Amino acid sequence: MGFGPFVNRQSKIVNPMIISHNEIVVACLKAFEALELPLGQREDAAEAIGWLALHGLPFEDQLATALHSFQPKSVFANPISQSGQESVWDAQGGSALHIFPNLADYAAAQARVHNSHTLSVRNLTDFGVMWPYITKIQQRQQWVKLIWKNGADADMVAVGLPDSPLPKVSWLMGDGAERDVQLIVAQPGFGLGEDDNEIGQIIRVDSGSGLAQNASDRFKSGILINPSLWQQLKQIGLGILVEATAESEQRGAGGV
Amino acid sequence: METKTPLRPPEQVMKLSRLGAFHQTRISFVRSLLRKVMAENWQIERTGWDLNAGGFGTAVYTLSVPIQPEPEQYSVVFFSNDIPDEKRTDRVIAEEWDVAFVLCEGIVTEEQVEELRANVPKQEVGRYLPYVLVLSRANKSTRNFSAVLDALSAGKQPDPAQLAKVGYLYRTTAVYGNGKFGIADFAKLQQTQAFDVTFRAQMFAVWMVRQFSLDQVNYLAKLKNPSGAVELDGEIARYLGVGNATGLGMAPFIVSHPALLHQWVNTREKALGLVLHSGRCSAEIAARFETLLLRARQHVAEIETIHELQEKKNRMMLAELSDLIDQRLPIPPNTNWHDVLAWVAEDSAECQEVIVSILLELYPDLVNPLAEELNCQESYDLRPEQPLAELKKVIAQNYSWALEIDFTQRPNNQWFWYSSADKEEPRLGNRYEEEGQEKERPLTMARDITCMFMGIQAFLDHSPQATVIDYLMAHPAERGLIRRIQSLSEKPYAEIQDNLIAADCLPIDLLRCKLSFFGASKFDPRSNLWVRITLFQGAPLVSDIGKPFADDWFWPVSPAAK
Repeated sequence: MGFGPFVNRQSKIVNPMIISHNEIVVACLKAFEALELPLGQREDAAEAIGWLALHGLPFEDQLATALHSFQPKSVFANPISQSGQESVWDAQGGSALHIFPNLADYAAAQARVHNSHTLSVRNLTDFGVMWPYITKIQQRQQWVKLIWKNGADADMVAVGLPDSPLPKVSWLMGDGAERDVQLIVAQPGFGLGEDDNEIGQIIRVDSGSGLAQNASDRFKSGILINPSLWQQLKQIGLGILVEATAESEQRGAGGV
Repeated sequence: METKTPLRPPEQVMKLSRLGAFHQTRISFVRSLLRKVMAENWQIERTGWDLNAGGFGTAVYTLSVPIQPEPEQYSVVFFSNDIPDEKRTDRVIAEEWDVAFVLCEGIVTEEQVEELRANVPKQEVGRYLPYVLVLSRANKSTRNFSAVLDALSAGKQPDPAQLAKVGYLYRTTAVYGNGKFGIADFAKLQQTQAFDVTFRAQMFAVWMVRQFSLDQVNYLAKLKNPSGAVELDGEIARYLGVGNATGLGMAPFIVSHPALLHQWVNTREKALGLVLHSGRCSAEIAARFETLLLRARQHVAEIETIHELQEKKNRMMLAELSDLIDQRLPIPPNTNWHDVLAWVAEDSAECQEVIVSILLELYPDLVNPLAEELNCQESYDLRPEQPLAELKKVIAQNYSWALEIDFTQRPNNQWFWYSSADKEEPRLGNRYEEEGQEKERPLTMARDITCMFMGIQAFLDHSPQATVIDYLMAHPAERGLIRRIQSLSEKPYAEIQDNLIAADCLPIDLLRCKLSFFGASKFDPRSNLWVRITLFQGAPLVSDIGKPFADDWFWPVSPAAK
């Protein structure tokens, strides 16, 4: 599932409700735990959704798809080919929420040894949530570029410069060709600049400073979310709760 | 200022029994808040008072923080409710409270007050907008409130001896911040000058419910006997703080925010190190030490608790403080503070931590600035390229306390922490007797690390050159644990060095640790799972703003004892 260019998600929500950044992260944590995503991965996933929401980027479609189609048992991506500077993986339809953090860290580790690494992933779902992971890589002082197909006619390129807090994200008119998700990580001096977008015509850019302003605005005013998605998220999160009994009420928390 | 005195080792400080013996200090949140309020001359005004003859209704206080170029303005709105006695409980599962209140950004409009009225009394079930900064509620200590009201309306001051037993009129049972239920994230408060330090906004809201409680009881006394009632004497009013009931909900916080815990404990230990290294004991300081020690003993003697173990600890602490007073006071000028700590080295942790708190109290110029270092930008990042053998060494060094525990022994694996479907109340279950452990909360650090350590050893046996990411690609579920270990490797005070699922684990020790940083006193465990404390006892009143302030309300004692 992708999202088209120039989509201002905030204005398309009917009767949105306002939530805080902390709320969406915690709600996602609970929901992903209920969906059996292990600790560490669910923290990464919740932070990723929270990051998208906070920076004014489309997150609802990604979240809705993830909640609907998440398969907790599809844990691994199988390697198709691996070398120091390149690798190709088959995610077997698995969710990026589950698979991408470790793959991204794998690419980053390879880049440290071999100066750069290009990682391609096939059959990955929910890849819209991958953007936040590249901020972790760039904050570790590596150059990073993420390319993925965003719907039929658009491509996305996110480029993060070393030691910068936020990436620049470009929305491009795609050429319609099928494309793997591609992550390129490089040591400083071996990557390219922020403006390296060779795929096609740029139709929108979210700069690092623009994203930062979005975050500041959302801390002040809150994050808009579709109420039914929020209810769905909360409902799923109830799965981590243990049924209460009269006995547990008496002995489980004190206050007696 | 660099301290050359080594800090106390984490093996000593991070044991649960030690953390559960911490007392408040001058870097506690309530202390730093009120220093700021008094130094900056915050302007607080009661601008709305719409209470009926029973004391129920709405009250509004406004705050103006005089900074340049424009003052920051806030409001605190109280909704006081008439609830039946049987509905009054400190538990998370409560649905009604004597007073529900919020701290808001800006001066609230009538429209906002109506919006708040519809939601604040519902607490967790309500929804809030980001102009709300703190959401809280409190219940009356009904016996105390009635006693104080009766006395004032009869033209008398309340009995200080009674107030020494329960030193508050209201008791908060939850104080929410940081984005809960739609209120503002802490990141928003970090852009303010008033509330940019962690928990400062929450402590301010609690200080204001104390003010509300005093105003309310004075108001009701006047209504009851217009011609004969008196207002609370200032000294007695200051002795009344705010109670708080804290249960298991607070416990997971310091486990799931280890970098923050390290920041707090490290700052406290750094303060102690500074005092030990640089704190000269002049004649004046020696006299002050004596004053505080005598006051501490009196304060401890006034603590009442029903908890057998705590009562035993208090009696021991009292005896040890008395011995110290009898044998060592007065201390001469130029006393070495290392020697003072050595005097109590064989005493209980409670007594030792009293001395630590007193030492920090003696040097405001050295210690006060550290109160601004309690924030922490928490970030837990993975280092995928780290050699796995190196990670194994880190675990062996930093988690040796965990690796020594035998988890095949049932008592070491007894409890599981969980969230109940009953309003998500945190509870403790017995793994061998109760259902629900498949939904166990992640407070099983020691057990999980021990298990993973064995897995790492086995992996290294066939891949000695492996990196962390090699291991994680084969064991993706351990990402969280490895990230935690790596992120905390240089933070010695991050991990509680005890097994939190052991039969002998006392959750109240976890609660006390965090509460001591808030500035709590009069720890009164009601069971092993929850505790009552007092905040702001002895603290200045709103009416004291603008007057000389000695910042000397540490270890408050009953006015009757003075």
